[in-house]
Amino acid sequence: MALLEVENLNIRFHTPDGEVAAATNLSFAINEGDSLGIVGESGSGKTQMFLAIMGLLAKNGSVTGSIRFQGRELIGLSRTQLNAIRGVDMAMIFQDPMTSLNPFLRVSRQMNEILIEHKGLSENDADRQAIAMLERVGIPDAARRYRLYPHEFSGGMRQRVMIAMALLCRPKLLIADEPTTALDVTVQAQILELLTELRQEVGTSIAMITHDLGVIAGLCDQVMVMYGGRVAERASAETIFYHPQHPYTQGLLQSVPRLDQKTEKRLVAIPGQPPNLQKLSAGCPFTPRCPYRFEPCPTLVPQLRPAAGGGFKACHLEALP
Amino acid sequence: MTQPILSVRDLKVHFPLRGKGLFSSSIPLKAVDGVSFDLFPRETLGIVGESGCGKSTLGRAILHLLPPTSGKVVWLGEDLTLLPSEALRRKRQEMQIVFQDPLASLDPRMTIGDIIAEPLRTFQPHLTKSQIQDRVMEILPQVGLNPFMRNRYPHEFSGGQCQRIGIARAMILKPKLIICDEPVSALDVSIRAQIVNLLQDLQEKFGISLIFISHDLSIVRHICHRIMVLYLGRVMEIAPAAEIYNHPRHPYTKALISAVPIPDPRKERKKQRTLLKGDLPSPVAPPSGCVFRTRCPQADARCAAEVPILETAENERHLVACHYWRTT
Amino acid sequence: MTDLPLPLETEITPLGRSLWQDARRRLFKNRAAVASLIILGIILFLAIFAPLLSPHPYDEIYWDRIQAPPDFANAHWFGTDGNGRDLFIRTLYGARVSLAVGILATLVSLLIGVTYGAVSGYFGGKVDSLMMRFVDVMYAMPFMFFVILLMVLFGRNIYLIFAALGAVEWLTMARIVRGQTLSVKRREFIEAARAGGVRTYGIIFRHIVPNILGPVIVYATLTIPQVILTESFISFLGLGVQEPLTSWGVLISEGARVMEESPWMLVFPAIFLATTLFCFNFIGDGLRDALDPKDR
Repeated sequence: MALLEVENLNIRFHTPDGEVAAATNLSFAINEGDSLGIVGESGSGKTQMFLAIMGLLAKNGSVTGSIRFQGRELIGLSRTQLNAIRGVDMAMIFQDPMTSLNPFLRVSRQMNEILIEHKGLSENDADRQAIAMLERVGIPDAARRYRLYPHEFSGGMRQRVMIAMALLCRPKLLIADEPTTALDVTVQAQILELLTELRQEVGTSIAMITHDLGVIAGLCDQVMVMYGGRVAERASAETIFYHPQHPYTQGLLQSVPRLDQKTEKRLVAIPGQPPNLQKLSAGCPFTPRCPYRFEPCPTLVPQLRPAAGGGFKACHLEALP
Repeated sequence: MTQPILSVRDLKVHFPLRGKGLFSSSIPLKAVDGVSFDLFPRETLGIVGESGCGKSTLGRAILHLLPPTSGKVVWLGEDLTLLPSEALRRKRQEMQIVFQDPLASLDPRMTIGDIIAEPLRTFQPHLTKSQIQDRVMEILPQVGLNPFMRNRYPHEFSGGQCQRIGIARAMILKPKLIICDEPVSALDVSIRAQIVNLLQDLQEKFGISLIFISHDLSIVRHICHRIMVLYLGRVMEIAPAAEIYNHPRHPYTKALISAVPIPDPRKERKKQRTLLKGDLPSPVAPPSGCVFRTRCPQADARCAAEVPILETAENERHLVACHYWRTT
Repeated sequence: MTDLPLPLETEITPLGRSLWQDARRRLFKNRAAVASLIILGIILFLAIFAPLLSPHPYDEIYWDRIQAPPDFANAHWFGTDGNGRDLFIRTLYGARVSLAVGILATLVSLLIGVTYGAVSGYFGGKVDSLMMRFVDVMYAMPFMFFVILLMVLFGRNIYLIFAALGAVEWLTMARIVRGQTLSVKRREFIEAARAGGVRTYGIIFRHIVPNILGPVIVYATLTIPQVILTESFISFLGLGVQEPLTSWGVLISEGARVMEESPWMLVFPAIFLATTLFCFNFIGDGLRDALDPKDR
């Protein structure tokens, strides 16, 4: 049984300016021990998808389809039922630790509250476990820092605190939404190293949402590429990076400059811009920007189907030229 | 031997912070603390560093959008720090800037045609309305925008398009230097390449020099001829782009390079990473001697006592500020 | 340029959709605001075309109909006042005065307040401190004494009333504008303008002022009823406009005195005043919602 199974997920937002189709027909699974990287830009739906999974969608959002965690359907659960899973078996860390941590509460309070609430520990036991976790994520002088407020930590430290908080209950799935995007590259390296170690130690599955292909290359075994609220391609990291099957994936890889290569004079850019989710046209959302588009593309939405290399792609082409 | 168009010598930008207590003097926040470099015609110089290194402050200080505390900024032979304000204002025709947040740098109440035309109206008030319109219509396609969009407002455009508008505004007076302050950081990944290409094309076509400020080493390596690495307001290393990557001499540069993730799973997982220990020191209380010593794997007593000078390493285009660059 | 998307379709509208147009659209969706605009429009129409709407001049005394109740036969729709003058036409002339005072005094306060506040906010530092301290001092002065003093020294001149009211209202306007300026001047497009060589004057009046107009307009719309009310109060005290000119405040003052015998003298002007105040308030609220900063 897969740890997390998403089937035909649709997310719609009702705004005064019209309906926004944030995600359409998403299907994928995360197994125990997996590390899945989700690549996408603005409007790809990657963040909304996981907010829906965690039950954190905004009030004007509606979800249809199926989300099953350890076999149990999550859509339609009440808040209390969800709270038993969120933070315990399934945890999420966000891009900006400053806004995800309550600036008015000490870190100690925010951390031990999780253990007291979900594991029924006493305050002393909770403190002890929390400090141990802070040490494990590499915060020096953890016992003293435990009593500080969030703003007294640096950016990288705050992100470590977030990770520590997320891991307190030893979740089976850790969802990380652009956790290192706002951090310096040297700090990012430390955090990614930490996540790799923790994954090996605790056995947590990781879903890493990011636009940085380098981060995915270092951490993830499986990759899902999203565009315009749909899955464009889903395959192993080997396939995605060395034999991409979708024009968007290929375009991304070609347009990103690599530090280890002196590329030709110009980068190969993908023309145009990401789609406007309020005005999604029929057919494949990538059509206006696709160099290989042909007859069916503007009118027929390509379904996800098996592709070379063992993965899946949503593209009418048989193979990339 | 070409003359540099811009020569910065020992530039310092210190912000006075009030000290604790009623009568204590203010403690300076040393955002930029002694930066020197030259910029040549048709050259792209990259300035890289992490948060707190002072790169954005440096860019603004060169343009005098922030007043430098001390040092010289010699532009085409004239020291800008000595110019009276009106003369300085006139120099702005030659040096422009493109900002990090594309939408925020455009006045939301003006049409993009007016935004782009503003520098023209400011410095060439003798131009007639139709002459101005012609110039605007001429430059819009050069940055990849449809000239008939000139009556639209900034919020009607995407991030990448807003950045093109900002570039058009910077280009309209045909400046000799454009400082790009993290011009693509706020843009989607698939758009970044478009803007980088645009900047390169404009440089080749119009012969402008660029100063490209960014924390993204991969992009900087691609577009820049030379790269300057800053840490806590000081220069650690300056060298041609390929050399920075292939033969870095400063321990910080090496750590920076090894930290950048490469979109190649086989290579990335085999990579030897030099992880820096510790945290960035506060710019209010920078370490004595070499500011990097608190995180440097090879620091010793000499590093705490003496500030390393920026000296040539191997060839005159490669400068390093480290006591031990030879042995690394 | 190969980076442009291969053209599939693009609708090119030559004129853009400005933020003001967006705001106007939102305002017209607000029913209370639209109703208020219509009612206010009607009142303005009545005020402007007053002489055409009644056969009676506003200062003509009808000796045989003093304090008479509404009488449709003689076209005294609202009856007559204590001096035998037609109340309908006087109410409309009162509208002229009250609205004129309200709008003009607000305009004066707008002009002074915006300039003062924008300059103070933009320059910041010592200039700002000095300018704002002056405002603080002025705030402390008792307004009523000031107005009474002016009235006593220079007589009850309607232009003086404009000036006096405007001279008081600009203080709050200046504070609001200064606050808005402080936040706008940090925005990147201001820095961009400086980098583009725009002079201080240009930055303040071409960039800052248009971007703070939102809250300023809202506040101005809410100032008008305040001014009208204040003028009514002054008139109620007997210090308002000179006879035979009248304002709603004067009419209400007279009407209140004979409220029991001749209620029509109080009721009609009061309804006009109250309705006008309501309308301005609804419009002001509607504008505030329409110009909501989060949509800028």
